[in-house]
Amino acid sequence: MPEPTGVASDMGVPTRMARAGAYLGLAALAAVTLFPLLWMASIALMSAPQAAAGTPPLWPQHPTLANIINVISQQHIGTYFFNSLVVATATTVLSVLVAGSAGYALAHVGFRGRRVVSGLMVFGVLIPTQALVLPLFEMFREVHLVNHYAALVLPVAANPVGILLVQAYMRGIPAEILDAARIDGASEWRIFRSVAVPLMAPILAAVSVLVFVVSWNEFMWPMIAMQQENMQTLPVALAAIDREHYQNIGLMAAAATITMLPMVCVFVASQRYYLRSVIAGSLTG
Amino acid sequence: MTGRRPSGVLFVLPALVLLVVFVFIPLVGVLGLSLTNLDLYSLANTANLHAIGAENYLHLLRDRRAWQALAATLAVVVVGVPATLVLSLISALMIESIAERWRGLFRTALFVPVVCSTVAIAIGWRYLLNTRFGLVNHLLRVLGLGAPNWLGNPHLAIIAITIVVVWKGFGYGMIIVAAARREIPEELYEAARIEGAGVRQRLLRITVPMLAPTLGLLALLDVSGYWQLFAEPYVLTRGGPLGSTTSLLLLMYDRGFLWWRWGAASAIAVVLTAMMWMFAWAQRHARADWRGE
Amino acid sequence: MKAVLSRAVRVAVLGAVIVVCAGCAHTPCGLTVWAIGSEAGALERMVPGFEASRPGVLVCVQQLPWSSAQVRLLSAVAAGDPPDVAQVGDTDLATLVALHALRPEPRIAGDFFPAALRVARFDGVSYGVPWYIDTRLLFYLPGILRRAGFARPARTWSGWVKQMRAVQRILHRGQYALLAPTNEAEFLEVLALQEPAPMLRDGGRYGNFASASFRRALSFYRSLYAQHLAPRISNRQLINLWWEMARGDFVFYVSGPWNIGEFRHFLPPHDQDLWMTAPMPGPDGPGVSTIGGSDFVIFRASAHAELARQFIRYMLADKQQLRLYELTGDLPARRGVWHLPPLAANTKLRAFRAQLNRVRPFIAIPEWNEIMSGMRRMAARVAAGDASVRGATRRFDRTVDGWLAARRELLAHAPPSNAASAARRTRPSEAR
Repeated sequence: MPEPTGVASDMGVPTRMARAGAYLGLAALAAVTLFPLLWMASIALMSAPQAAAGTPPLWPQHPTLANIINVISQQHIGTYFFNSLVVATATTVLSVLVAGSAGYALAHVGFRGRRVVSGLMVFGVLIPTQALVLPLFEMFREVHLVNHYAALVLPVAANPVGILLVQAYMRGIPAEILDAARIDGASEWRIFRSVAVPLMAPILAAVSVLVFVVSWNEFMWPMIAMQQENMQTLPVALAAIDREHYQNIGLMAAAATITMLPMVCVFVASQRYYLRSVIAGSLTG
Repeated sequence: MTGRRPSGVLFVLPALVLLVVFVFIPLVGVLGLSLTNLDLYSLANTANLHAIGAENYLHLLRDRRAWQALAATLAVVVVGVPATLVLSLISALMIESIAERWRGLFRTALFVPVVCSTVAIAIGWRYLLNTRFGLVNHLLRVLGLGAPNWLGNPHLAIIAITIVVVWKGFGYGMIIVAAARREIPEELYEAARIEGAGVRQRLLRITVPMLAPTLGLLALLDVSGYWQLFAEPYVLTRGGPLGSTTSLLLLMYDRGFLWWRWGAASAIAVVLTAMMWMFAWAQRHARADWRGE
Repeated sequence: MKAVLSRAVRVAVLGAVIVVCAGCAHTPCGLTVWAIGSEAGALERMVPGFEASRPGVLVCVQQLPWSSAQVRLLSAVAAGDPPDVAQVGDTDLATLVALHALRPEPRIAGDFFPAALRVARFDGVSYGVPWYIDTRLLFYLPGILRRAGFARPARTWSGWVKQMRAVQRILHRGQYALLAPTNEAEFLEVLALQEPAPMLRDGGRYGNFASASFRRALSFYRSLYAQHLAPRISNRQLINLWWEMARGDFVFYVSGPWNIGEFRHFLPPHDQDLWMTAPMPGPDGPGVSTIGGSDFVIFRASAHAELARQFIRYMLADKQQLRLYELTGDLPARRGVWHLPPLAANTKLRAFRAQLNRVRPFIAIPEWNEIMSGMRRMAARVAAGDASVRGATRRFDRTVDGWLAARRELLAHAPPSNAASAARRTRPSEAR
């Protein structure tokens, strides 16, 4: 992808002024996006009187881990963290397997009804899944899977966006590579495993980061499906702690920071794959 | 293309089964539920369960709360989506016009809210927007602009929610628009410059039209996301004040899981789904029109 | 790419192992108990004593937050997966009874407050054992009240308003005589209770909010905001209620006994004289108030009913009732405990003891919580000046009638012994 040579060429002449304006504007925007997050982290480290004294200051005077320790020891945050980790990991593994095989087949294996299935995936993207929680709850209740990890993993395991991403990516890979293996007499499964999967690795990595983050942040359905406190995920527990302790700003800031921090780290560490999936997602439309 | 082999079906089967069981069947299920009187009493004793036709929908038509929720949700979509698109566009163009080595840094900074839990973010904003102690009002007071009751005034509360939603969402669009901007051939700008086109003309005649399909797609993604507004009002205002920030989904949740009126709640879910499809349909047509020009 | 892939596979295997292990790591609970908010924390600390007296029994306590306890209990029942024992707020009992979720309890012998026992009884059958009880009354700042020229809070509405006006005059800007959060229904509920007519009529079949009684209460409620004696804020807009109140931001606040503990927790010892409690004023004399609190219930689906009963009995002994009071500030449901030193010595509790003799039970029907939530919204609209008292109450009656349609239909067809049909008569617990 060639970089545009004329910097700021659509904004005007690439003058120093335009460029300086862009830097200023971005710095201002970055301040607006980062400030609330950093301030939360800062309040989490404040002592109780400092955090509760009207408008909390910007910076902790005597940084203390009291709030964090309080959240961990009194609010069972470790349990929720574990639940979130299990659910997000299981969802990621399952949806990458499902999306990988389906996306591959939709792009490179001919079968009857392929267009219909492809159409169903596009249709699936357009369904507001949060509106379906009532029948979904009823279904899980029937099979006694409410309060089980499966209730959070299964409904989102087939991710239409993920499938379309893999399909679009695989379309860009020439069929000859796969056909060569077919002529050699390899079975479809073998071709998938030893030829297609390595080819798909970048997009699978992208999809897995995307799914992991989305799954971690899921709120409404986990709140409904997990009634037992020891099965709740972090955002659900965070909302519950908030309803109880909203007047304890230091505690809330600590709990919120613990909920956000892992995803910020995951994002920063895997930015390359993550942003790629976001971009690829837009190109399938 | 390859020959027709049965194994292709096996590859898509897991996805298909999961989608049918956990999306398509519930989709039919919610429609079915919306035609019944399923509530607390029929949950306790199925003998009380009846099909009641369109009664739940007729109730919605006369239901002030439902209209209010529709208006609130629409307000967030109608104001929030264009605001998000404009911010995404501006920030993407700015990112693309600065030196390569700084881009990653700003991209990260502007994108971080997207990956953060909405619940956590809403909690932070609730403290920021507090009338008496919030930092936002502290700042406004210093600037002599008064101290609005952000979350206590019905008109301001929905604006506050929209601000939070846009704040969290624009980074996503920024990445996509930036990628699309890189695809625009530089020759177009060169040619325009030679013809003497000014800054504004280049922006309006080249950049925006070339990005239109991307912006259209983003609009659809944003509409679908904002239409399902839930966590922000749930945490920030719990639907208040005076119900002004109760979104359709929050109303459905309250009726369904707080008051156990499953039939009535399902009708809201159906309306919500139908309206989202209308948006998608309209967006498709708008896109087709654009291309037809 | 290879590296990415092998890492992905490793993560996948790890994930699968985690899921499998989590599935098999369930510890066997002899008794599962759901409790709410800080009571859960207190219960957790009292459980070891019970476990020690019954070797081999493991009691698992789970904590629900107050605001979602009802949802969680109901959906657990709907899902067929309830605990053995739960702490249930009084207002949620009726719904669980309507769902046939609870085991009828034989009448528990004990010196409970009679009003608390009545709340747990439906058609003569008791479904819960009172654990602690509460009522709403005035928390106030005696220092500021004295500066405004009054020795103690008034007994009548008119006297109270006069005091609030006087107080408001000596307060700084941004400070208010009264805190009445717009998202708390209880204050208006208490005001409405002072009036003779109940909020529902015909055995809980129709709304009765357009009655002169309720309109009077609502008008009084509205006037407090209209005179700027109370700010139009929700309790979510408080940063730290106790600290703000001690500072003089609010002088009166109608709330429950848990705030005794919260004030003690959040304010330093030398500031404990800043606040005090007093019984509710009424329209023309000492007022009545709500009766609330929590009961222990045993679920029908429980396979450990006998153990559950032993657990409840253990928690209601003098020692545990006192312990609960010490840990949470909750008021014991057994009257005898009130004569023991820690309670008898507490001056802030005197008003509660007086108020508990002047309480009226609420209307125990499953729809009550929804009605209260609607009433809160209606009242907020009236307080904001968006609707007139007469128009809003009329319209609200129609809304409530709609909510009660299913109930009326059920009552028309069901035999009167059906637990769901139980509508407790609303009668003052003392002669007025």
